[in-house]
Amino acid sequence: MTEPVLSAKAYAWAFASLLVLLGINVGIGFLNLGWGSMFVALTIAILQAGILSLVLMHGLYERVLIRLVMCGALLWFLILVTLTMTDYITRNWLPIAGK
Amino acid sequence: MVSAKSLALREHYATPQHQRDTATLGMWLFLATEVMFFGGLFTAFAVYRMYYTQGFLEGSREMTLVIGTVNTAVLFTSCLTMSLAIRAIADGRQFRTYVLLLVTAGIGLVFVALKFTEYYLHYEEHKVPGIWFTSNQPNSGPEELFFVFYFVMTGLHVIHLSIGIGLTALLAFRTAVGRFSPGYHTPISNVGLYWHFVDIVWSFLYVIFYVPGFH
Repeated sequence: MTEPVLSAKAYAWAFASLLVLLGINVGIGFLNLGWGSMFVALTIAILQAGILSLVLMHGLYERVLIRLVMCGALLWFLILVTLTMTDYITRNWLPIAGK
Repeated sequence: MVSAKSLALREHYATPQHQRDTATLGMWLFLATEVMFFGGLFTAFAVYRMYYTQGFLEGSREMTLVIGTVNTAVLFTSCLTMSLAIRAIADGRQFRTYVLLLVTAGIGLVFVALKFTEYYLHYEEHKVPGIWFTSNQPNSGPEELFFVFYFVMTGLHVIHLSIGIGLTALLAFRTAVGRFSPGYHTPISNVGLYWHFVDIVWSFLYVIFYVPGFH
């Protein structure tokens, strides 16, 4: 398997998508959606990261071992966030003396 | 004179493909460690934002939204030029690759210049935590903590980007002297991976620091 390289047109489409998502992020940022603003903004950032990693970094076209490393990095990051946040979020749920 | 082909394959690899696969895997593993590096900072930010929501919102309102948004577009543009540089060297167009790599490094410098302009504006507004910080908000403590995260995380990002600019400029020079060919351009591809990763980090920094300050 040779090195994956896409056409200039594909890169241009990815770039345009990134800019459109940035525009949507700015537009939604001006709306006051409460906690929903951060949710939407993070969703857009995840989409942008997806375009960057899967298209511009050729994650979609790489061999299985590379994709495993990508998934592994994401998995370990999610473990880090999930375990840390579940700890902090649930600290005040039970009235444990001496806590 | 040493040809690009003879430079391509080191003696401990069986084939150019073997060498390329090893280098690419190594770069991806490095990027996985970078995910954990920045991931720890993002997680810490999430914890404190949960505890001090109002103070962190007040911090976001002090951001220079125009510079942050323009900088995001600037970085995405550099992603395009970097990808086109990889496309160009794969097609054997060395001069085009050289120009595109220089343009990418130049765009990176624009980002750094805008970032330091923003840092200067924060300094003027007395928003440098620990040494030069004043606030008339009731949540000045958490707001100062917000700026600690802001300077640490964006500062680390700028350091990463500066390394990328240096590497890209070096690759432009090496392209100019004929070190790369359609058959061997793994260093350009791997620096491209690094460059795109740094852009991914910025897209999340933009969301956590700037977007809450829009409304």
